Amino acid sequence: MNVTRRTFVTWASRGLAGLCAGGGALGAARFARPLQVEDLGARVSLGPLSALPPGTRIHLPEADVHLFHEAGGLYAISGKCTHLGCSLLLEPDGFACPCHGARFDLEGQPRSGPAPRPLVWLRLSVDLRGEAWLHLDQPVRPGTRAAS
Amino acid sequence: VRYRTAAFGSTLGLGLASLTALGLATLSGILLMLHYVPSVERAHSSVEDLLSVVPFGWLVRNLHRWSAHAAVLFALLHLLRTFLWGSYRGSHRRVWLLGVGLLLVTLATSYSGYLLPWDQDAYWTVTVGTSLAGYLPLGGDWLKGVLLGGQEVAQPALTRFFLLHVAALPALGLLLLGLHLFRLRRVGGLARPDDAKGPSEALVPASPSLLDRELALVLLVTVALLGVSIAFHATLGPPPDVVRPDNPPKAPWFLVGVQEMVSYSATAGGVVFPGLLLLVLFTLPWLEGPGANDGAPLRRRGSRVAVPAAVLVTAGAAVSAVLWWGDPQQGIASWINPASLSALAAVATALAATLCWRTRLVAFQSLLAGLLAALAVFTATGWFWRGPDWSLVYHPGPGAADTRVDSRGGGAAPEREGP
Repeated sequence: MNVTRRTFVTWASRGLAGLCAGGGALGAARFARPLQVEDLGARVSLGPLSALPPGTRIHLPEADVHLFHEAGGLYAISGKCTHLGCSLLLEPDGFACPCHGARFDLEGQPRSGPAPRPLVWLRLSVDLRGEAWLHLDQPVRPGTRAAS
Repeated sequence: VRYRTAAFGSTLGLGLASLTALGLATLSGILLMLHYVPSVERAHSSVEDLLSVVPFGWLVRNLHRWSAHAAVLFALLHLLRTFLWGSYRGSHRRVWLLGVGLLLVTLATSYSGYLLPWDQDAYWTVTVGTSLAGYLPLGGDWLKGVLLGGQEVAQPALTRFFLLHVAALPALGLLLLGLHLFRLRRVGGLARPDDAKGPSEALVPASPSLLDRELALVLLVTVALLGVSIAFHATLGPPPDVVRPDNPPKAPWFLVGVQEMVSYSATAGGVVFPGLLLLVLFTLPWLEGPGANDGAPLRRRGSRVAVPAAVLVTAGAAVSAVLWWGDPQQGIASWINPASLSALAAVATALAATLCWRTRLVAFQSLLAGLLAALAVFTATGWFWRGPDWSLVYHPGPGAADTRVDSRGGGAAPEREGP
């Protein structure tokens, strides 16, 4: 192969320009990513456990979490649809999404519509003073209930 | 210029109409920026101020909204015209490519503007759109993060959408627009058939033959949009309720077809179908292979039969699939749904066209026509026939909840229509 000085310089400068552009693009792609902020509001107090008797069904609007207390125990389900993130409406027999028509039962299992996964269950805990806590950053396996 | 260029029937004036609307949107947008504050606390109230206390604020805002819609509408019609007139082949291939890019930038600019008023529609349209970005197979999570600047729609997202809407996308659009017009000029103006003869090919002076007509069109579009802006108010919803979307929340009309399709499946309807459509749009002149420009609507014998056939077959398939499924259901698999079935119907008609005429040109032309027809059906379905909880309704509008189609067998829950 016959490489003259001219073709060498041409290709070397093109390569260099490509490297610079690629590096710049990679840097910009990382620069544009969101900041990872420590979430201090990840644990929400639900008040004393005794204030949540069996039969309780409440919606915590700040966190968009639905809290149920039933025979099997206490559980918390995120109210955000696993399809495209709309907030679900609670109906007597389950959840319905107004945006794309997905439906879930009261345990968050998809019943119909486009939702690919069950709703997210969140960890609940009770401390020694009997205060109940909701852990927004700790998803648990669907069906995990806190004993009451 | 040739007489053909000045004749209205060659272009229907759609490109220039879109450009005029874009110009009006830019001018009114610059004015809006004088009063608009891109912050979560102030955005909604600054738009309210525009409507109540700023002199002619309502007019400027209406003009911005309606001219943006008009720009998208005319750009889509311009694309359809170019497609049906067969004016994207040969030397015009790159003009077409730049035009499709320009259409996407127009759509993106319009969509990014949706967040700025910070009302219910804004919040939920962007929540859904950015969640959909997360379904992209490559770089989806990165794109979602970059658009939102966080995990949810909040101040960083507003800042970023504002930047995209007023700086990044208009700059990109201006660049593409310049190239689009430059390429068109370089290849000798409007596409015309190789065998063009006759009076339409006579040379006439550009001024006044062409320029006067163009000026008239610009003025006509401007007056029409001003009239619409005086007569019709652009909506401003209440500030967003982050746990309760409207029921149903509807995407802007040019995206409601996608909303309808993702209600079958986010991947099939939100990524695969639009991806296929974009791929065919961008590469159409190359897929078709060599061919001369037609210069008039559907001049080819094959196209004249295949394109309407593809439209009818695919639209029919889409309509029957929507009626068959009715309300969103857990499909047999998420891959078998109206979006994927109508894409298949479009591919099937394209194959049939290939067998009949044995040219790639007719085949890909009917493929694109079919895909566009299906998109039109889904857009109409989403816009007119979807009611609360995204269920099918035959009579949309107030009272729609009473007439919902109940294909699930008694699943409707009228008791929820309370407070």
